[in-house]
Amino acid sequence: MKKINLGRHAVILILIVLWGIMFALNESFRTGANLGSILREASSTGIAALGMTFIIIMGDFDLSIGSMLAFAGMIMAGCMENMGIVPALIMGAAAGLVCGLINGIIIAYFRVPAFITTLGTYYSLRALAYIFNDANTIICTDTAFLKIGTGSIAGIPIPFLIFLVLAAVLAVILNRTTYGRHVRAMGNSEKACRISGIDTKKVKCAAFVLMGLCTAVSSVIVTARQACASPDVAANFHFDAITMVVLGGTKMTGGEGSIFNTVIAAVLYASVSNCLNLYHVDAQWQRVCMGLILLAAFSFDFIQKHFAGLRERSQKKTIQSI
Amino acid sequence: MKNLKKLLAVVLMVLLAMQAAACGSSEEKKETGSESSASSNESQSSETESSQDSKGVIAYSCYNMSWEYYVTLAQGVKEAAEAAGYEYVEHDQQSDQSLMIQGCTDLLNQDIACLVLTPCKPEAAASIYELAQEKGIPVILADIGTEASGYLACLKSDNYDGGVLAGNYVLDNLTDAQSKKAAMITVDPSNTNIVRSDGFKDTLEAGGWTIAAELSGQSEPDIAYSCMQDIITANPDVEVVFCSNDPMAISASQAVADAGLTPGEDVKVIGYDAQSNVFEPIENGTVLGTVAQDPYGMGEGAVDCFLKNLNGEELTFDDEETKTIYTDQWIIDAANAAEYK
Repeated sequence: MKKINLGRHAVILILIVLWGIMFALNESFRTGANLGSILREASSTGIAALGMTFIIIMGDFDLSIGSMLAFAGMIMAGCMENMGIVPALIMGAAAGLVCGLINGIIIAYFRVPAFITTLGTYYSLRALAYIFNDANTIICTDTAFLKIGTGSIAGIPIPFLIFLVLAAVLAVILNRTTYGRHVRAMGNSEKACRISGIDTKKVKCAAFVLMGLCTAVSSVIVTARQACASPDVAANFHFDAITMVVLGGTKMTGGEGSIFNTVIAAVLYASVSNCLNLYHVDAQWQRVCMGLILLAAFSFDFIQKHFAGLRERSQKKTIQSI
Repeated sequence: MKNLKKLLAVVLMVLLAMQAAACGSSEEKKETGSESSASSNESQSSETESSQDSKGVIAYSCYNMSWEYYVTLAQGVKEAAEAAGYEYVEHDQQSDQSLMIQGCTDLLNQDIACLVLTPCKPEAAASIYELAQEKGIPVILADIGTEASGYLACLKSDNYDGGVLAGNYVLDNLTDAQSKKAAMITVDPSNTNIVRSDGFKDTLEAGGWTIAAELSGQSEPDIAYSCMQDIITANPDVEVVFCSNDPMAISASQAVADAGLTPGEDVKVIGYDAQSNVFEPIENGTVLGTVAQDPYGMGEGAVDCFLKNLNGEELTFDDEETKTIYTDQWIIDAANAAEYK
């Protein structure tokens, strides 16, 4: 009998249960507008969580993405006034790419731990975002640009479509390409990879560049949705993105993870905060709730292993008694 | 595998139970007449009764509920809403613009009667107005105005005028000043409340004072503390410090004391907002005074605007163009602190 790993599918199960319960109980939840808003909320952080999935599978993480998002947003909005949409989007993407590259080079080639490096860029990029326009917010008025954040195609929010397309591309990269295999192998043992001739530095660096690009896309969506770019945006962004990835069953120790589950986890995360909002749960209790969810996601794997161990032992006992 | 099946079964049963419960209690108002429906019938009738009592929901989306000022504002909205027969709900943006948009969208999607909003990031509120207009829900701003239009009215203090009040207070009361040097610890530079310090600055400069330093305390007391230390180091003869909020004023006064000077004599600190914890420092003299605003009146007034608009009455604005209604402000010092405590 093929063993089904419950941990791997837990997140989608929880999502189905939550949606089922909310569909039954809450009239406001099942309206199209509300479901659309959940998907929209899931997308902006979810896209960054896709890049974070790569990083965490590799056994690292990136704390700087919130600041990176603010910085890329400021660059993009600043360019939009003078250069028009397309060049501005390219500049935003370039900003994300460069930030990711800086992280990647410091971590991979100078061997500074990711925690220290991204903590450093977390501070400096946020400060640069403030410096860029003297801490002032830049307002975006171009309606075509705003549509990226607020529009829908056939009832599905545009951010969510972008999210799905990116998820599909990244899933293919992770599962079907040599590069993806290298990323997963790095999470298991970087040393083994190096010995077997993989250019680990390049793999690591590329993953952080990918993270930067994903953050830039998130930045486009956040900026378009808020109709402005401000330096203090997305303060807890890294925390949310990491939570989504862990919720999706990707192991913090690296080596294992799935893009699909990250997408589901992003929707789940947005759904939970939507539900808490619909029932007007106090903000501090919302945080308690989110914290518990994170803890539950962390411990789920452990609990499952524990029970599997117990079962094995009891089976052995019955065999012995026979 | 067995465990998985068990879990699935439990999940499905819970789901079915929930669905059954929901069918019994919520919208299926035409009754089916089965024996078990007696109890659910009861709960249903009580539910419809309560919904008849309430005319709808007035929601307040708040900048940050950990600030007492906004708790008072929320109190004003709540009491006025309930007095008018509306249900009251509140949402906390926790100073995060993403949470603001998300929370307001969730509120508007529930078809509330009216949204009272204090935007933590005024520039990002445009999409909220858009959705509200689509749904025909009036939005009333309290305390903080926005540039984008689409709201019914905006109730706030004239922040510049408050700064002028504080400035005139200094000119009137500190006539024996020697160095005539003042400093300011302001809020985050992106914050619209920065005009408070502008009002103070313009008034003092017109009165022959100089502003020796202007530092951003970013609304945070601990940052204001180090700003104050820097100000004293650079300008030992500074006589008055204006802080754009009370927590900063209290910690600035602490910094003065820690630097070996006497707050209230060597350096006088003026705050803004009249929060409850500033009254003690004012009474014992470590803080000179504070500019009081009327957050309760803003909340109450916001609901009042909504009701007037509902009845088709014309609203009168202090500033037609931005639909602004200014609420009262006054100075609280040692002389009248007991009155407002």
